[in-house]
Amino acid sequence: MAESRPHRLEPYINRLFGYAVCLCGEREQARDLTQEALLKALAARSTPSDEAAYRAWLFKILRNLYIDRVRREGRSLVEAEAEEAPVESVEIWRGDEHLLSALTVKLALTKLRPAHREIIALVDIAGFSYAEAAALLSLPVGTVMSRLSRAREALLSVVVDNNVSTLPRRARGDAS
Amino acid sequence: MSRLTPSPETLNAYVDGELSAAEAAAVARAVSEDRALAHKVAVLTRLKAMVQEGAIEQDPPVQAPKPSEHGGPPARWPLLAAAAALVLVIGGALFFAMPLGQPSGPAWLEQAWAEHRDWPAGAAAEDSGTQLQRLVALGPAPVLPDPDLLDLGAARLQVAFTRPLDLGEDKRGLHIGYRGNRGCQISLFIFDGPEILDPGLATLGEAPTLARGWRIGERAHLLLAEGMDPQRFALIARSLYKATREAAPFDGETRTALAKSRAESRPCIG
Repeated sequence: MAESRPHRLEPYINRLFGYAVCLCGEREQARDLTQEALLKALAARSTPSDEAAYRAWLFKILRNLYIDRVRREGRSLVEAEAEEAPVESVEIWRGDEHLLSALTVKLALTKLRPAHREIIALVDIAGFSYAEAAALLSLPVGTVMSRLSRAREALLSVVVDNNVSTLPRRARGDAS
Repeated sequence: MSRLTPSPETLNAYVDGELSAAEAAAVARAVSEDRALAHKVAVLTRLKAMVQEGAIEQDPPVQAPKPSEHGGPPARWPLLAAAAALVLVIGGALFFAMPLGQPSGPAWLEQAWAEHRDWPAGAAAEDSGTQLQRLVALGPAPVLPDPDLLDLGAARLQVAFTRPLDLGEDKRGLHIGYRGNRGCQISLFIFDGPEILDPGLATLGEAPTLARGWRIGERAHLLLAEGMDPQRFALIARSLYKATREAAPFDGETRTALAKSRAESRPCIG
């Protein structure tokens, strides 16, 4: 029913917006992009009845709008970035995980390359399974797995290297 | 799954719940035997949680649009077409008798004032939602407003009546009368008027005959009130202007400001 369409969108708005922030890198553009995606979804003649398909459809709309916008602005979309060597390092794993805060991670996320931001956004923010993310990105599941792994390592690396959080090593028995 | 150290991809998949039961059990066993591995799992788990906490806002600055913001889904069009036809049958007041296309002027505004002062006897304020839904049912498609954008409940003004306006030459409009409980009456006219008014918010009348107008595309908006506190009226006009221009209902800050303005203003006179 038409009247239920806005209500059907509502559970996904915060995650759509979070995904849009990751794509755009800033909130104002993300707000416009999300609003545009919602309008487009609302205007669609038909929508998937299955809820998982509906969610994937919504994120696909937003992603396609973002790609259109990037192309209109004459920027190149780094769609298939080189799967660079992992940033595997002892340094990124040191420290107390409880010192990772939402704020430090959020700031670090903005410093990642777009493909890394996006895969983290799809899995952690949108809540997609690897298979769903792979379908949305038109990638093999294996590529999603490796990209996500590298993206998280890169995220940890930014947190540590940029001292967004110091992640100090806590000595055993440290009472602080 | 072997007893070898799980790969980074496998550890991530473990944290994401993407492994089969057998694979997950194998990783869990490896983790229980290797403190460094356990620490990595803890870091990845924490990282995932912090990404979610930082990025998923409970109150994002985006709202689900209403169908009328973009004309509504196809299923609604037959209803709107019928509503438009209904307006033609009902007729309504002959509004703005001047030829359409003529620049705005005193005569144009005087007619609007006459319409405002012709407040229907017995038009009592009722629930805004009910009245605005009725408005949608009556509104001809070209001027169909979104009820949420026109809700002045935050300013303690309820819709007292709505009536269609026949402008001739297939041009139509709506007159919405709002009433407060301290004697305030305010009229909002929305009508086809591409040549009438500028896009920006314009002052068309000062106290005591307050008037503001603006245009969005081909849709002209005119707000009139008599005897109302000028500051309160100006705030209402600015709020409606912003809401209709951005196609977004009043935000929390605006609603608070409207309520505060109402509380601090004097009752309407005249």
